[in-house]
Amino acid sequence: MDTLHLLSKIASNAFIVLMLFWMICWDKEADNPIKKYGAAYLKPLFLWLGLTAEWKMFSPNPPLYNHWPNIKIYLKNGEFMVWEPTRGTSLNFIEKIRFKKHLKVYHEVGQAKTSFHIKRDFIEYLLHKYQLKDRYTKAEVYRVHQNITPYGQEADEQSKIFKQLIFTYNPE
Amino acid sequence: MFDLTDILSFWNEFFYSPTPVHTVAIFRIVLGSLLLCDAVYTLANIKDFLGPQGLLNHERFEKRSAYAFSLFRYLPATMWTAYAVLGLHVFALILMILGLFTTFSIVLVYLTLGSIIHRNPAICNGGDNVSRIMCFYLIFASSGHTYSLDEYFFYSVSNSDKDYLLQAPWAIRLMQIQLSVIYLKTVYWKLRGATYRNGTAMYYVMANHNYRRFSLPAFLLKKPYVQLMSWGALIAESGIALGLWINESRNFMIATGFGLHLGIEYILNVHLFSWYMMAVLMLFIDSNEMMLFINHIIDQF
Repeated sequence: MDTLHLLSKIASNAFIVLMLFWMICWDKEADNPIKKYGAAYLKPLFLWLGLTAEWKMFSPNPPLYNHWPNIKIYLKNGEFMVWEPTRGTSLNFIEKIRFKKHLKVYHEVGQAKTSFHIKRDFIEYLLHKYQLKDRYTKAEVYRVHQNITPYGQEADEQSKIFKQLIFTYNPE
Repeated sequence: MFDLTDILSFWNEFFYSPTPVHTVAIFRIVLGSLLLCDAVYTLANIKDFLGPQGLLNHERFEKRSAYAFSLFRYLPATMWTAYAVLGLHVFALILMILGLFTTFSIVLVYLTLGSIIHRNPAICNGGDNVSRIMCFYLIFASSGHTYSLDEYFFYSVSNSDKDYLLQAPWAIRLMQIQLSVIYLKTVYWKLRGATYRNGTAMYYVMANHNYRRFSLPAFLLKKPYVQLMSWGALIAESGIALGLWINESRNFMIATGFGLHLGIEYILNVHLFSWYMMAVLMLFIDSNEMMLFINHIIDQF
């Protein structure tokens, strides 16, 4: 075995071990010691490479409610504009495909627990889209949600729609 | 008990024993084609996804994305940049599908794909993650050694014995292990939820307006069918993750995986996730069987 071949074998083995460690140890609970004290040190490299995926869709439970954002933009003239997305159920087959990733953004914007960044980004998007940048005083993001009737129960007041203020955006 | 020699021997056999490259070459073509579909989708939404005043405006993107590689960080914030990066991505994808300068083209696809995804991580989904990870491993997988213009112009000219068709499969093995890890992790996280354990999860999935594509007949959302579907999905995912590694069950598990993902594709609007997963499942098809299948198709024409 010549030196070059040996070095290449060592490099590929090291790469294999690194990738196996990462793919097995990254997607764990935040307080897992292997993740906390091992994988976390590698995170900047793998973030840069874009290899930090987690496989948690609909986990540990699928959402027990439907929710969407409702955004109220107050204008300087005292009026206001309300924006709400077209609900997934109102989209046809093609529109569901075309706007799939938009639906994901709306889903994120309408969550109380997601970072304020995404809500602020989305408001700025709306301000630009509707040319309101110089005409607004503040904007509010409401989370509108409707509980899914629990399995085995008849639909009753569970299907009522609730609205909760989750973010207020003021001009910087 | 295994001793160290046995483990090293298994390791070398598993990762380095020369294997035909036909299956991974077909995977390259299929993955490239799916990414091309995704690029068309991105083009249809380019203003919102990649434009300087899109869902994530360029100023915010620059502040928040220093951790990740993206060509958009180094280029002017204009729509022309968005078209140029997407155009470069499509160009690289065409080279990748044709198998011309394959390794270079896959590196380019990986870089442009990462640039597009990092431009707005909020719109990234599981399918984007699968495609990006597989693209990364594919760089190392000798996928351009056959069914490619590289073979026609370079490999077959300089090597009449065709020994270039046999390569160490370590990158393919990593892709295969990654697939199993995806299924096992999915099951692990789902088993922590009460709705999966009591078998009602599918009822709630079907009631989700954001992700539902088509509805199922109402009787399927009642016991015992809803439990069969909820538990069946977990059993199928666990079975696929493990059964793909057993010769006797491999083809059955590939078929089960295709069935599972076609079912998900019917029920859920999750972009190209299912198609990417089915493409990766193809990596478990024996190269000789794949070669026979391709030859059979070629003979038809």
